[in-house]
Amino acid sequence: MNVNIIKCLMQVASYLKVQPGKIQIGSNLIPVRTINDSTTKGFVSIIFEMLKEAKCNFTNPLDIAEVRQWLEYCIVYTARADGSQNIENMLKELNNLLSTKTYLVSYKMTVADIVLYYMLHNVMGNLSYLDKEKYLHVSRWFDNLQQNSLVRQKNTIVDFKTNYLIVAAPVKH
Amino acid sequence: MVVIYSNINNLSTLKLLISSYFGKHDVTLEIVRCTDAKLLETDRLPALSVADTLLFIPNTAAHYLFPPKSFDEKQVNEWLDWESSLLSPSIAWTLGTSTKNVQIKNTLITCLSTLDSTVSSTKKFIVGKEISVVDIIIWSTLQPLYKNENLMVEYLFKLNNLLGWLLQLEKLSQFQDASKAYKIEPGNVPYQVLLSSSKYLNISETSFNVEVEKSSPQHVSEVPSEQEIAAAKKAWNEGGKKLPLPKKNIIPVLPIKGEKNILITSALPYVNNVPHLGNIIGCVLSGDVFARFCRLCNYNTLYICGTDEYGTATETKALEEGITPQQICDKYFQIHNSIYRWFNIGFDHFGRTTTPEQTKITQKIFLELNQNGFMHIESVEQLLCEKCNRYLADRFVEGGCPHPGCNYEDARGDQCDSCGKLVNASELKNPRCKVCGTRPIMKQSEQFFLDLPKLEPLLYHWMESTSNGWSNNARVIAKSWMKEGLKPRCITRDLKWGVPVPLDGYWDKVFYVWFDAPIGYISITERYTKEWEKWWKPAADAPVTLYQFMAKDNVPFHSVMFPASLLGLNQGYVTVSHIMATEYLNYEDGKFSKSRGVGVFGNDAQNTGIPSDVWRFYLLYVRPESQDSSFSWNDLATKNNSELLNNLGNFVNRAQVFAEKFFGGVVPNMILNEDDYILLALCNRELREYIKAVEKSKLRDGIRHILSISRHGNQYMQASEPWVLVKGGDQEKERAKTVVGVCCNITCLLSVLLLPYMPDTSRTIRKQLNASDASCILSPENPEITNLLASGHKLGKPSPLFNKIELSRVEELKKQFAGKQVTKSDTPTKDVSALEAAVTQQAEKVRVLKSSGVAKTVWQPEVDILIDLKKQLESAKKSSTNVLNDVGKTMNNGATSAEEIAVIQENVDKQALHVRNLKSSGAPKSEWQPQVTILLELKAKLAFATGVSATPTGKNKK
Repeated sequence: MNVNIIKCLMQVASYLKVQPGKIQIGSNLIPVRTINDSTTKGFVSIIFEMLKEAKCNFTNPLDIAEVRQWLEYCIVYTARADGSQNIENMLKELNNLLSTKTYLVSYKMTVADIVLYYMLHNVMGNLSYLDKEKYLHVSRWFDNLQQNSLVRQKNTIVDFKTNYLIVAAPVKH
Repeated sequence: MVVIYSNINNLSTLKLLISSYFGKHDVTLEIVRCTDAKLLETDRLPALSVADTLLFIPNTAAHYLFPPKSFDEKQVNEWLDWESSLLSPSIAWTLGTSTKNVQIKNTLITCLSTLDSTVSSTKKFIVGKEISVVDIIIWSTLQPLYKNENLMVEYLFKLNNLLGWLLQLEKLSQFQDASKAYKIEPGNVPYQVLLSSSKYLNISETSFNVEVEKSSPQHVSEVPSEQEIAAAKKAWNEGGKKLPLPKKNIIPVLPIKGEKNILITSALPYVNNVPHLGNIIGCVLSGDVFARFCRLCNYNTLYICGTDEYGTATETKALEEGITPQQICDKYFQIHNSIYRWFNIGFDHFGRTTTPEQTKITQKIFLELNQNGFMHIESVEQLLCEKCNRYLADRFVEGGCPHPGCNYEDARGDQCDSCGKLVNASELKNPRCKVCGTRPIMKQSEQFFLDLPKLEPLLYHWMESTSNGWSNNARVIAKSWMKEGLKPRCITRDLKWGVPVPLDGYWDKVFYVWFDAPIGYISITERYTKEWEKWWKPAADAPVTLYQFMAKDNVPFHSVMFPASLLGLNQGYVTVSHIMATEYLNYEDGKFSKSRGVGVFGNDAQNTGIPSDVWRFYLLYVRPESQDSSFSWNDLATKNNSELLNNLGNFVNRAQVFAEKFFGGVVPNMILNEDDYILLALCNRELREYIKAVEKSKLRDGIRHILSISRHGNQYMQASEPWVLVKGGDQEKERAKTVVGVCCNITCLLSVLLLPYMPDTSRTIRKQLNASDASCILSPENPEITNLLASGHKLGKPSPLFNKIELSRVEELKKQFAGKQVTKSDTPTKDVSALEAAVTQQAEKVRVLKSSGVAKTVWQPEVDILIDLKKQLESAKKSSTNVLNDVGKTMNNGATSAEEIAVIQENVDKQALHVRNLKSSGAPKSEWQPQVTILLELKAKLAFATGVSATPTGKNKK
């Protein structure tokens, strides 16, 4: 899967309204962020640093744990899922996990949703209408997020039309 | 209530257990299966269930159970990132699977040495001064590894800090309790569980950066085992005694009882064209490397090739050049022959298909197949030109394209050049003979068909048993043919240039090229030796293995048609056991094209001044093995300068120069120590892989192993510094002698390994080493480096092997072979009326096309042409109106004379240009403002003179 980690981190920084600093991909594809002479290595660590700078505090330790879990999930699995089989498995899993939830963590939008949204943007944009329907819960979650222009930033809106008749029975002239 | 759900033997469960003890949580452990109904949300294990929340990523769960002190938070986060994205996947992939990926293994080894340098006897924990979740997680990940003796020796050898840290943690009560509560089997099993429970996705090579592997010296990261070192020691001290002597050159080469007999063919190049680099690497060069390798291994090797000369294309070409087909063949045979000679392709015989032997064998095979009942006659409709008295092959008929919407008048019988679609010759509108222009008549003509459906069962079983040795693409193509079901194939044609059909009533027909070309291999062998049957119908006690090299387009003929014919004969002909097919080679991301002059063709290569060995090296380096690859000039120069010059050439030259400078050009006395044997063991490893790769004709890999050996050599020399040692005391001098001696011996080995790839270079090195031919041999059974050049051996004169290819030269060559490019600016602007006519015509064409309902892909290019034409028309119109305006301006003038106005106009233009240049150069406003003022004044003057108001320049822009 073609996920641009740097771009993703820049977008997160922009969403959190913090300075992105200088973000590079170091050895072994680990992202490295340099800001004010301090460097942070690793995707999850960088996002936690950004959260700290943005003064985003979670009160419930379980919520932090869940955010951490999703961030690790994003970098270890989502970003590395290449090939249609892997992507399909991942979407299936996410669809299952999102079937009872509006957001990934608790009842409000967190940085976990934001990151997963950026990582999935390409995949969702390339899905066929039938696949979008197949992963209905992922589609619903994604569509909900992209309505927020702060989240969406410059990304294109992925179309989730519900009128599948257009596809199933094209008009003949 | 906190519950850990886990399967058995899952090392991640240890992470959670130990963390819960440290974090003083009360947990219960439940052993479940992944499919268990309790876990509705995920099938990742272990999972931690806390108050309706399920944490299924182990590091997160452990972090939750035992959170770090806040001032350590950032460091802990970084280590968790490191563990989850590097250590854990690389260990799971290395120890949990049977596939060995060197790159992933190296990542693991780098991870372990990172850990080793982090902890020590004074720094007891990875982060801070107290135990943290990081220690727990990493310890758990490594536990099954260090508890297994074999793995520990293999991976933790010499990593004493890391080992000490592991053992010290183990003593802590929390670790002890967890190990008691949840048992894990030491060894590979937990890593298999890790892989399956945490679902590490297949790690493609891109997931781990190559950089690490490159920058870390290789013989540090891959330590050879004790056995490997012992084997290297033994082989070295035995000297060359075990090696057989190379065979004498006997002509003709014949199969011999009890020995390996290898017959190699390369697809016969078609005679009517000059071969390009893709043709050369696709068959003849690949076959040559393999043949030379087989000879090096003392196999009885026969390498056969030749030009394929019969067929329509030769006839067409002959018509074009106005000579007979035979003359065409003679001319191009010479061209092919000289090109292959220049590339050092060592055929045992390079023949041709227009020989009496070919006629005899083709006819015999046909008659026998006919007798065996695998032929039948069917009548086929064909166009006959009565004036020329010949049936017209597809390319000899022209006429109107039959496809709706395309009104092209000169479509060929096989394809229309205008719409690009395939055409059936009999469907052409108003067909005409290409030679005389008469309208041909449709006539029934009887042709022979090879009854492939009848041969299918035989072929199927043959393919099942042999196709394992084929290259993957060959297997896929052949299987897809079989899957589709075979149909009878027409094998004769009403042509003149070919082998006549030897049956009364059919003498005026010839065999279709695809039937007789593969028989060329047999007839060319017969030209080589009268005892050709020993190769093609081998005796039971001297079997022959047939290897055939080709590009993938030739696979159907070699995997289906030709074997089917041979099987149908049932006379014990040898059938191919190894089809080695390549993909295509592109030229700088495009295609080679003779007509456009794009790409390097066989005869061009000689004129570039680059030696044929460098060409061979580069072509083999980019050989399109599993996918299409491309030839790139920049890459050629880079590979030459970095691999040949700096790596291989540098090593070979340095070793000999030291021997000459310090030890009088004699291989010095050698007393090998452990370091030297480690180097030899490392080189042995590459040597073994080299033999394995080339035997499977993975020629690209072979070349990489050669380069790795010289890389090892360079590192060894760099680390040992013989130029420093030689100035030291007696002991150091002895050491210098050994290092230089070992390097000379490795050079000698390299000269042997290079022989198949770069024969000239190999010979040059051997001459420089003064090495005897007796040592120019490979023994696949004992692939170990021996002492080939003993102490006291007199060396020859060293000289550099390769030259640098300058980038400026590359640019020149690139331009030279880029073809004739049509630049738009050069095309003269057509006049308006011609363009208008063209636009109308094109518009009509597009309308017809669109209304005919063809696919967008068909009409889109035409639309593009239309748009382009319209643009041209627009600009043409504009320029002509400008001319008119200018004329008008001058005419309108009453007060000032035409000359004066012209002068002012000129000044205005000049000044405008000046201002534009200034602005675009980025000069500050203060600089260009005065000039603008002048311009405006001039314009005002002009306006006054002509009576037309001045138009501000800026707004003319579209």
